[in-house]
Amino acid sequence: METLIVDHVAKSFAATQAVKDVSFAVEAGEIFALLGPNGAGKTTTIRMVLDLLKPDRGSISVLGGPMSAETRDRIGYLPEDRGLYRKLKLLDCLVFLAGLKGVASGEARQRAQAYLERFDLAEHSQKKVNELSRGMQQKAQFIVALLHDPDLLIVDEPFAGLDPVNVRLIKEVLREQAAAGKTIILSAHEMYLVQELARRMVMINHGRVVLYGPIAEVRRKFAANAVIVEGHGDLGTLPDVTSVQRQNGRAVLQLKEGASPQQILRTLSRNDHFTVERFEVALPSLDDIFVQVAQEEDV
Amino acid sequence: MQRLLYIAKFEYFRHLRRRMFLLTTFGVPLLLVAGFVLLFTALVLTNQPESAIGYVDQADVIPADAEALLPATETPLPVPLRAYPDEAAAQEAFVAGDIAAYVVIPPDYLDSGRVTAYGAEELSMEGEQSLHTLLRAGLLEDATPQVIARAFDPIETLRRSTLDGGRTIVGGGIWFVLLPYLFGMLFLVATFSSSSYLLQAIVEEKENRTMEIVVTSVNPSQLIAGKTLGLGALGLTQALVWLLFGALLAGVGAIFFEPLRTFNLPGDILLIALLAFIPGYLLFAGLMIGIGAMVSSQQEGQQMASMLTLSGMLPFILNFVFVTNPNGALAVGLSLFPLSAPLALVMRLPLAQVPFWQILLSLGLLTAGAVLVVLTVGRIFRLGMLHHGKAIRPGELVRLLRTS
Repeated sequence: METLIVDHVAKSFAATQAVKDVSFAVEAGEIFALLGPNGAGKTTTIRMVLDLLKPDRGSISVLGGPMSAETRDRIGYLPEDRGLYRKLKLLDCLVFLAGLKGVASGEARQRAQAYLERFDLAEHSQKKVNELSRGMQQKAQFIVALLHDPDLLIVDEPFAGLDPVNVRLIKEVLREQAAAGKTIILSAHEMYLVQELARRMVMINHGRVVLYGPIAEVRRKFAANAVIVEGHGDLGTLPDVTSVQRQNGRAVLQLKEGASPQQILRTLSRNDHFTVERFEVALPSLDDIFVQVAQEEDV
Repeated sequence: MQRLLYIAKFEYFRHLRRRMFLLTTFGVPLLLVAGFVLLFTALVLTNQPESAIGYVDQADVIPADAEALLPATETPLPVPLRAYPDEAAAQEAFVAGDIAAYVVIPPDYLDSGRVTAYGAEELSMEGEQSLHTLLRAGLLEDATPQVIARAFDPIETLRRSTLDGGRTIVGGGIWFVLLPYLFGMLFLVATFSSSSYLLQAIVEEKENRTMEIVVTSVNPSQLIAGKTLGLGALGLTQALVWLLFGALLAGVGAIFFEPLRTFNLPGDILLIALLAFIPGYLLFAGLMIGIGAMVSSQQEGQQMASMLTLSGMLPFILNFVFVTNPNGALAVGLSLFPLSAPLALVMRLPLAQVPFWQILLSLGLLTAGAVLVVLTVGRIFRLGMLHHGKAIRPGELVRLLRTS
């Protein structure tokens, strides 16, 4: 079942067409990556999903239908432009924002305190928001998105500006949420984290969908006909290989057209002068694919 | 509705706790009270009534039974006056401490009106009042009791009527002039402080980027309505505090000052003022929300808001027009123009018989203006709420409103 269906939406601002034609669906309980270069139309798409902007064309179904007050309460949102009431005490600020989502004050206070403990912010709960560091504010903002226990969590750049310890913490929480059946839409520029967390993705560029599907499939689609080999000895002459590149103790073998990795593996297994320790089809990283697609689109 | 009230409550208490609000709400009246207390203390300290005052009546104007001539309505002499046959006797009594001072009424008193006091730098207010009363009673020795009574209170009831004779105010001459100003002040406090808090709250949420979070939780109409309600209540609280301080001051002051005792507030004016306050506040609140949604900083917002406030305060600035010609073209025009209507109407009412149709038209235009602004501002707010750090120019706004 789909938690979100975006169907051929478009949005213009005066002469600028921010989103031309975007369609994708997010399945319940998955971590879904919404990717794209700066200015591609991601934030506009998110704002249309959240009903902050009305699409000029197309339709959006969130949690089984159009946006309603009830649906709004089931969505958690971490916007790219972070914002909290700077002059309020941290705990009061969290409680107020949870209250806006319909969480009773006592319950909100209890949940907020638990999250503050987990995010190592408990000792700052009585400090005013403007007295907190940027990283702390970022974590507090993340707590705001979670406090009302939403079914759909939309997080825009959740890792920006965080140290590795906190990146790990956010990753952990996102995984827990997904394991608990929550749907997560993750928009981030740290491709290695996206690759690690998300199962499926959509990439938008210039207001259109340029890549869509399971990340593994997208990577396979972009894979050059190459294999990575690690081992000891002399590789010798490999008939189906056009070039060998050596990188950090491993060899990347570019295959001739029509040659398959299986053929190479067979040839290597017959070579008594080389011991294979690792053999894998060379898949490009999401980062490489992102750069390649973004650049191709710009040409 | 629940969220609307939640936002209203949040905004109310958030601003209520602010130092600036507390300072303005309690600081200003406290300053007034302090000034009043200082003035009163100075008055009391410098004015000590004498135990008794002597007098030497060389003009023979005060008969022995002068006090018996006083009308029944007159209070007894606050300072006892004792007659002495000559200055030497009076001086002797003064030296003996029987009297605190003495006055000499010279033989030419009837022509000159001159009286000389000895023994004190100046007589107390009560001492002077006693002397005045006794002299007046003496001078009226041969008059009938009716004339005496009238001489002591020549105008018992003063009816004040507007030039067209339509409205009559009984007593309290000072209120005739002050009432419009007091109404004006209260209206200004309640409306302008509320709407400026509203502007501040909207721009603050845009500046600190909480807006995007808030509008994903409640719809913009709920947000606007909640803020308008909460901050309207805040403005009323401020006005109420000032009103209470004012009433307290007036109550205490009435013990000492006659005019404060005669104050009465006409019910019809109060009703119309209330009817004007609600759409008046909504109109200004709506405009402030619109400005808040369009601008990118507090400073920019305040600049635009000050122009609006100025239009609203115009009747206050042009108050002489209302006093001299409350039914003139300018006064009528200002009471029909929605931005100045609430104040202009309320200022005209005590000064003239405002035709009923003008009251209706004024309230009607004001309400229509408020409704129009509230409806339009919802759209401006939607357009402007996500424009961080970038102001929307009026031309761009018109285009956006047409295309959105």
